[in-house]
Amino acid sequence: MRGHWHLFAGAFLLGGLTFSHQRDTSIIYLVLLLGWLLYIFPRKRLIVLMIAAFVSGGLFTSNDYTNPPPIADTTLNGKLVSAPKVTDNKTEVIMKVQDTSHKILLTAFKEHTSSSTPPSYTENWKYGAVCQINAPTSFPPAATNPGEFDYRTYLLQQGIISQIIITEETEIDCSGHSWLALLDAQRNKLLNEYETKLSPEISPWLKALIFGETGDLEKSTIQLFQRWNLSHLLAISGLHVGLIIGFILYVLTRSGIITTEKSYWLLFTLLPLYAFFAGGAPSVLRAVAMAMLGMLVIKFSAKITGTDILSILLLCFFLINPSFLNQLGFQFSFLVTFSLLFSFKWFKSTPSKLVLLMHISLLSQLILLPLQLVHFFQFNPLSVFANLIFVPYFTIIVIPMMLLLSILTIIFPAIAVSISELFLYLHHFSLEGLRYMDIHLYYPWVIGKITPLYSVVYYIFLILMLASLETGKKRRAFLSAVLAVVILMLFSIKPYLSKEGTVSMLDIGQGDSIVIELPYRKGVFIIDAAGASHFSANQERVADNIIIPFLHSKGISKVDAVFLSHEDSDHIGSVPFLFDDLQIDKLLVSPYFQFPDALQTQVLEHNIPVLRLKRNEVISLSGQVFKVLNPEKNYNDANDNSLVLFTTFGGWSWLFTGDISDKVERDLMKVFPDLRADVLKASHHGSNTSSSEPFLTALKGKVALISAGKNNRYGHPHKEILERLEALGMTALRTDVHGAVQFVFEEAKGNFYIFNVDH
Amino acid sequence: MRCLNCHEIILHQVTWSNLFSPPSDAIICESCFTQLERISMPQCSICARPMARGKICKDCERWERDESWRGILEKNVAVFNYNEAMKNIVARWKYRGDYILIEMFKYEIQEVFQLHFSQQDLLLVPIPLSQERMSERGFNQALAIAALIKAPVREVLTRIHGEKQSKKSRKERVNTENPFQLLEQVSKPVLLVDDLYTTGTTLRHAAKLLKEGGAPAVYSFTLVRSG
Repeated sequence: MRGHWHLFAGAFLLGGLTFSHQRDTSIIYLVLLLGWLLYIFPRKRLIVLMIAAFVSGGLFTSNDYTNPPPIADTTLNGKLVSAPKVTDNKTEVIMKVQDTSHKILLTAFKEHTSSSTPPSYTENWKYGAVCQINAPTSFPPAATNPGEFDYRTYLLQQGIISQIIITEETEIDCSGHSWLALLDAQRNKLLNEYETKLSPEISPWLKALIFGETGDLEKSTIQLFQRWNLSHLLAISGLHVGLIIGFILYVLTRSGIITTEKSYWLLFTLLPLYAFFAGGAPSVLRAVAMAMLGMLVIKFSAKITGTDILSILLLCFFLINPSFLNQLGFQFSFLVTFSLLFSFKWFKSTPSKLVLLMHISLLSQLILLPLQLVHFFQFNPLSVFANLIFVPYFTIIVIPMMLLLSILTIIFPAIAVSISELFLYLHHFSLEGLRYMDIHLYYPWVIGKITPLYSVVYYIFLILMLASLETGKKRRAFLSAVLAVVILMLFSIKPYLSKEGTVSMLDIGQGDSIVIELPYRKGVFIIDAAGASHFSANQERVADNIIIPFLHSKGISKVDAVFLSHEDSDHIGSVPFLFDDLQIDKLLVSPYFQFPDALQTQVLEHNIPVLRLKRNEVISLSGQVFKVLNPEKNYNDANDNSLVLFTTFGGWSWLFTGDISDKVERDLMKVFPDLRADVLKASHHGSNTSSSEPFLTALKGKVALISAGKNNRYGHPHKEILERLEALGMTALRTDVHGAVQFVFEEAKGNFYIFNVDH
Repeated sequence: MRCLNCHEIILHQVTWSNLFSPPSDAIICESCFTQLERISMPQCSICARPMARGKICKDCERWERDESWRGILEKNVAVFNYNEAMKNIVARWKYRGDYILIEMFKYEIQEVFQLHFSQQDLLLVPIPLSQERMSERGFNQALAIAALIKAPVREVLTRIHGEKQSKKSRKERVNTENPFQLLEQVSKPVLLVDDLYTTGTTLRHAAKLLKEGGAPAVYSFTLVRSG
């Protein structure tokens, strides 16, 4: 056993993956286990132990996340099991329902007005409070598009099965608290202290790097760090905890207040407290637990290896809470720590500190790559160099500086302020450098959402490469590295070899957004890209959360043409936000299309050619022929001036109508009496001002696509239109009900698929 | 499991190359293992002495220049350098009778034998001890090494008691009478086995007898190449 706990941790993990909710990939992990068992075949006792670990891993993680049991009661009793989290617009806390293991997320939005304080009743939301709730439970919003972040699954993975949105004081009654609430209050007091005493440019960094509170950092900075794979510096991990331990030990022993021995034990008892103060994220827990075990091992000169400690820790975390397996921070943290430990021998052979740093940076990027691709779909090859600069910068300067400031601010605030001013000069300069790199050197490789099979094969070659480097077999290492890259390339050229094309009507709420991918990825087109609603605080939401992730998850970073039917924001609102993340070759609009200012600026800045099309023009894009049916003349109405496009996919004829009214429909029938369309993108989100009976009858369609928001304020699609479609025997596919609707086609056949399969 | 050499608990170091492997049968710890120095390339093509450049070392050149010794020993293959750690281990093994210590070289001995001699059908002949030495030491170190190799072993040599080799200078060693006697004729090529190769005198004396006794070729295999 000694020295080999990683074998059981590995088998345990494989068990967890095999029996997790993604059953379709189980076979991959099962094959891996069998291969592994064959490899160690003659060791019968070990095989038995490993199978036992595999099975228990499966048992521990096989909670069925897809169908959580509903909570029927309207009155719920429970206990708050987290510190309330207050953000710009809401307060959230997790409640564990009495006598069950179910957790519920309680959310209280701030008053609709821009009041700065959360509702008064959240004052009683304290760690450990006992609450009685009388409000309906709901499922948290789930993803309705491919590539979209799935909030419901995210919460489920933490054991949170539903959400209650509290709107009235009478709905909730909380009282009492546990001792953790007192700690939480202390923490808030401390954070408040930093916020008031330090400049608003410095306190967010202190709060993030020492207390794990990243909420105050600017979103653009967080995204910048994400793009350059530097997020790990913003989340408290082993690096931060190690520095903090070193710093405190140094201060304690040098100050001469207590003996080395006593300071050692003092630190040991303070560490769990720090884990709480640092926000208790998975990476913090891992780092603190590892540090404490490490301290014990050193103290008692116990004969145990680092990998054993980490493996046992991993198993313990699982036994405490199996949902850890699903948490990204946890996966990142363990994966990197394990890989650094395994590389011990390789690192020993590095000639200099700089080379070692390069190796560590490269290793972390390579080991996290598949995870990165599953969640962010792209990879920035130059991020290795950013890490080479910023990891030492944070390790040597930023984190120690924040530590110093966190203490100085309390003792000598005046000195803290002047030091922080000095530091800010340097920090501004460093961040500007990164921004400069971001503008000039950001060349991401959009690979797409990698599948488990490709990830597994990638890891096999990566491990082969590292094993070869370790044993000095340079040629084999190079070959394995090449093969690992080939795997990624194979994955990214897969769509170019596929005879399938797709037409996807995305569920972007109230509005239109349709993405067309031709077979063999000969071309990618977008018809409309709706924006967020006017009331939304974040106008980039639809572009950032739905359209771009959808395209990137499929490995698409280049769009050949974007058709803009007309200038309403529920059709083009997201277009200005696409240019940064996508290469767009041209825009196609009607002659009467008026560019809104925001869009005009972007089009000029990126030098995008604009083509204006009118009736009877035929345009061939990458072999796909679109015939323009409208407009012929200026109707002096944006909706009626919509581009109407006719084309065929997989032997089905399609008509895209924008927002035209029945008036234009009548014109179309007059000019094109023989017009037929198997698939009709119903005009104006299924409004009763369009889709007139004669028009629908004339088209002889089979399927009507309706893109409308759930519970939208206009009542789209109108009931009479749905009835009309049904009477004509047409199938209505609606984004508000079905989520994203996709048509997958080959040469002469095609099928519709809906994202929300429960409908 | 404790290290055969230093008796500390063996800590198994997991690295990329043994990530999925079952527990190894390592009987010595990582730090003792790293103290052992394998003979590096390039080396003398006759006696396996590590050299900066050249093909044959000065010593072997001298042997080969001598009409009566030329070609007597085809080639010597050795596994380890005679560094401080090795000296200590060999001393404990050979002079203080810690017989089991040879086990820690088992894998390397087999590996080197495989690498150089696996293609040939060889007869292993351990360098014998005199009766006096044998009763003093309790085991023949050369036979202990030969026993680890998967090839037929035959003790066809005996030794007339003389002074310990390690007490003599090179000149004295080279010019001594042949201390061996051949017990039976051999017809197969022979691989002589011994613990040390210092000047090569002992091995060449034995080789000469074997060649005279019918062996078509004589090679040698030693645990250590010293000097």
